[in-house]
Parts: sequence; C-alpha cells; structure tokens
Amino acid sequence: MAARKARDFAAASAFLVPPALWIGVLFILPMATMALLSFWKVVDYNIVAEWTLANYERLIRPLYLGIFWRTIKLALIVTFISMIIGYPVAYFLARKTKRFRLTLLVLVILPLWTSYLVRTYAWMLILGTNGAINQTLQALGLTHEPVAWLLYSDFAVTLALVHIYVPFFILPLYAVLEKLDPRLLEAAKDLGGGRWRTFLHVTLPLSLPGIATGCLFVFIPSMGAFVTPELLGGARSIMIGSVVAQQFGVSFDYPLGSAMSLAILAIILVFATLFLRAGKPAGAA
Amino acid sequence: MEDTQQPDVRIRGIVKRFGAFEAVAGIDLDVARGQFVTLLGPSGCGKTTTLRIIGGFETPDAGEVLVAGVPVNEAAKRHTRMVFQSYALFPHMTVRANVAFGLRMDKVPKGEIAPRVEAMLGKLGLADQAGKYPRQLSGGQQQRVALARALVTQPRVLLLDEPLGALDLKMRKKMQGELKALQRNVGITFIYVTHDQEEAMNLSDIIVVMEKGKIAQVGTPEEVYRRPASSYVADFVGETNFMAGGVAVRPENILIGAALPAGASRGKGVVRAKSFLGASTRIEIDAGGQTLFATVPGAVALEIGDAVEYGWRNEDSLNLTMTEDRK
Repeated sequence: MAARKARDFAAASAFLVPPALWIGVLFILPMATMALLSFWKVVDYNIVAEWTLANYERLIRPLYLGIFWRTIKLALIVTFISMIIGYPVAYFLARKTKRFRLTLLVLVILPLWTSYLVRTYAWMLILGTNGAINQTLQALGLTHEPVAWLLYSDFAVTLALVHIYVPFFILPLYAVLEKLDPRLLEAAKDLGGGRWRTFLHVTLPLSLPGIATGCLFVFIPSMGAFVTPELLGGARSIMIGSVVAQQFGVSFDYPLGSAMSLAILAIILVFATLFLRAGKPAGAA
Repeated sequence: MEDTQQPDVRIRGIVKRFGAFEAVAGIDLDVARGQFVTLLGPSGCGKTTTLRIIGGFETPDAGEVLVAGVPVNEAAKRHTRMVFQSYALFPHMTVRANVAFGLRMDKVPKGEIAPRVEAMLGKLGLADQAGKYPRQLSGGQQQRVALARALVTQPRVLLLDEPLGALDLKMRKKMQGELKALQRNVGITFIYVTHDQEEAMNLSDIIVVMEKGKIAQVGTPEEVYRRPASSYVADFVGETNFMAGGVAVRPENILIGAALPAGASRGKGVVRAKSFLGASTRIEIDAGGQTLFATVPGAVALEIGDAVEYGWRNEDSLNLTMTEDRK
C-alpha cells in the first residue's frame, strides 16, 4: 500500500515538474529579480546592490505620473470602445446565428493569425499622409491636403489597439453568452418581457462575468502596449510601456524600469479587482 | 358577458415538423375551464411540443390554438404561463425579484407588486425564502418559486413541462399532492406534461395519452385505465398481459388456483418468480413460452417452480384495438 502510494506520488510529481519549472524559471524568478532590482541603484551605468527607494520616488514625479495617467486613460478608452464594439458581435455570434457562427468565429480569430507588428504597420499604410484614407479623401475632393491627425496621434493608437485587442473581448463574452440557458430567455418572454427588457434584466446581468473577463483581457495588454504607441503615436502620445522599454534598452536604467513595471503590475491588479468585482453577478456562488 | 361554455384551450389540427421529423401530427383537443389535464406519453410522442405550441414558444406548421378564444400568436396579452422542467429561475435575482418579474413586465403599479408577491410567497410557503437566491434553495423550493412566479401574474392557463422530473421520489410524491391542492385552490386550468403514468393518474381530471404525435385516447384516469382504447394505451397506462388470441388482462385481474370462479378462462403454468410487496404479491408465471404477471392480494403459498393454474373472468379482459406493436 505504502509503496504504491509513494509510486503514485512520484508519478504525480513527475508530471508537476515541467509546469513548476516553467512558472518558476519564467515567471517567479524574473519577477523576483525585478522586485530586487527596483530597490537598487545605478552608478555610472552600473547597477549597484545598495538599498534605495529613489526609483519609486522618481515614479511619482509629474513627468512619469503624467504618462501613467495617460496610459491608464488610453487603456480604459480602448477597453470601453472594445466593449461597445465587441458586445454586439459576441451577442450576435452566440444568440442570433447558427449558420454563420463558425465562419464568423473564424473571422474574429483570423487577425490573431497575423503578427501584431504586421497589423500595426498595416494601420500606418491606411492612416498615413499617403495612406488609403487620405488618398481617397483627396480623390473625392473632400480635402485638399492630407488629414494629419490620422496617424501619429492618440486616435491612431486607440484605433489600432482596439483592432488588435477586440477579439480578446469578444471570445470570453461569447463563451458566457453561448452558455446562457435559453429557457431563461423563454421564461422572461413568457412573463411578458419584450426583447429589450429581457436583454436588460436577464441577458445583460448574466453576461457580466464575460464582460469583466473581456475588459480585463483588453485592459491588461493595453496598459503594457509599447510597439503600437511607438509606431503609431505622436511625440506626445507616449505610453508607459515605451518608457519601460527605454529604461531597459536605451537608458540602461534597469532599477527604474523594474520599479515602473511593478507599478504597472500594481495598477493592473487594482483594476482587475475592480472589473471582477463589478462583473460578479448577484446570487453567484 | 363571458362565454362559460367556451373551452379555455381549443386546439385544432396542429402539426409541427422539425426537419423530417413530425413531432405533432394533427391534434385536436378542447380543455375545459379549471381542469387539470395531463399530456401523457413516452419521450418523442409530441407532448412537450404540443405544450410549447399552446404557450406560444413554437409556431405550428398547420392548425391553430385558441386560448380564451384568442389565437395564441395574435394575442396582445397572453393568458398562459409556463413552468419549465428545469424551473428556469433567474439566478441573479432573489426569490422575491423572480416572483415580481412578471408583474414588473406587465407594468403593474409598483405599490401593487409588493403585496401581491408577498401574498403569493405566503401561499406557497416561501415567505422565509424571499430574500434568498435560487441556488440557495432545495429542488422542491425552487419548484415552488417557479409556480409562484407564474401564478402571481394570474394566468388563465398554467402550462407545466415535467415540473417534478428533477425531484427525488419522495419529494415528487409530496409535490404531487401540493400541486393538486394548489390547482383546486387557484381554480385555473393546468395543462401538465409527464411521461410518468402514475403521476398522471394521481393528478389529472383528464388524461390525454399521446403516441407518435397523435392523441391515442382522452379520458378520465379511470376511463383510460379501465377502458383503454388500444393496446398501446393499455400497455402505457398500467400493466397489461397480452394473451394469444388478442385477449388482454390487467395483472390484478389474473386469478390463481382456488380463487378462480366457475366459467373463468383458464390456463396452466409454472411460477418463475415472486415478490412479496406487502399488500399484495406479484407472481411471474411461465405459461407455455409466454410470461404473465399476476398481482394477488396478500401473501401466496406458492414457491418458484410450482405448477399453477391461472385464469381470469371474461368480463375482466380488456376490449382493445390492437395497434401495430401488438399485431
């Protein structure tokens, strides 16, 4: 008996080793390193293991605080727009179509098959001064010179981030809406609820967990985005992800970069808690 | 003046197909006001589809349904409410909010909703559960919430789709009694769907036995049991021994040995199995290749392997049309 238990335990452990290593080496170790680094100093481009809070003090200076605030604002706007666009799509997919469901699902997922970078560059071709939109507008005689704010602006960054992340909103919401018991909607209709009120009182509240997950899936990568704002943003539409990249690349200030990364993590945790709390339906276990 | 002669539900020639499958193949039925009517049959016989057509959840391919004289699909205000098999309670609403839902949708004045909801909760013994969520309730309590939610809107006809199916046997028996009492109390028409013939016998004023999308027989439980219209009905409602020569006899009408009166039809067989059920004993008789079941009162001295003479009074045999499965 005991021998068999020991053998079972050994077998179970063997299966747990790869994921444990994976999480340990690729997640916990880097996080711990960053946490440590964020309390160290940089002297003459060298990292010195001396304890300091200076990196965190620098974070709350107006310059960085402003960028943090801009980033949160932009990420929230991207999340909100993704919700407005994604909800009807997920709803239609889950509840209104059977015949085109697979085709439409593939269309939602299709952009994810191309690189994030390719999609970002594609927007440059569309939005640029010689891009598709400006050329069309000029050909139609609607403007005489290219519309400048299309590219290298908050508009461009928001547009591209929504485009890139909206599938991450649609898919979890779709999963929730698809599982929604159709009898509940029949019951609501039976009790005199029209389409709109059935949606408002039954479908919407029961899809809150999907909305919350979707928001989280869009908000988190938007908070950390740096390639898209780098390429499509203007000089003033810098986001915190780019600043972090600078610390690790150009400035060689790992401690400040680490402190910033941990601050982003903290912000995400706060918003994640808010989203999930808001998304917990009444009466849930 | 309301026409009291007019049936609450009038079904005329309804047909419903799902692809190549004809779920309902032409049904006519009148349901009188205040009756407890059960649609009884095995799965796939069209009973649930018929109920869903009455409730307006499905549109028939042919025929029409009138509830209180108004075609179901054209009614501005519907007169039916459904109690679903799985209850379909709104999980994000309290018991109170679930029950108030229909009144809110009907735009009943706010001041009127609360007292009506509380009264209905009280009537169904749910006063203490009003603030709870459905998942915090037992199956029987959820069942009562579903009933309260439908009844509070004062429908003319209540439709129930195997509402006791999810409950355990003991709870089911208890709820059967409560349902019947409730129906008498509120005095409205109940149309009930089940595949459980005992439940149908226990609850109904009228049983509608269904077979392959059609009605096999309509009658009181006694009529359906004592004078089944076909071998199908005799087989589905209660148990029946089908003898050679087209004779059918209920197990309780099979008599054994000395109990056989003069002039009874007789046969000889061997006891193959027996089980003592308390008030009666059930005996399985091997009658020359055919198996018969007899239910005799009290205990029986016979043992397995004993030879036995069985028979029945000729007036006790059922007069049946043999349907395909028995020909």
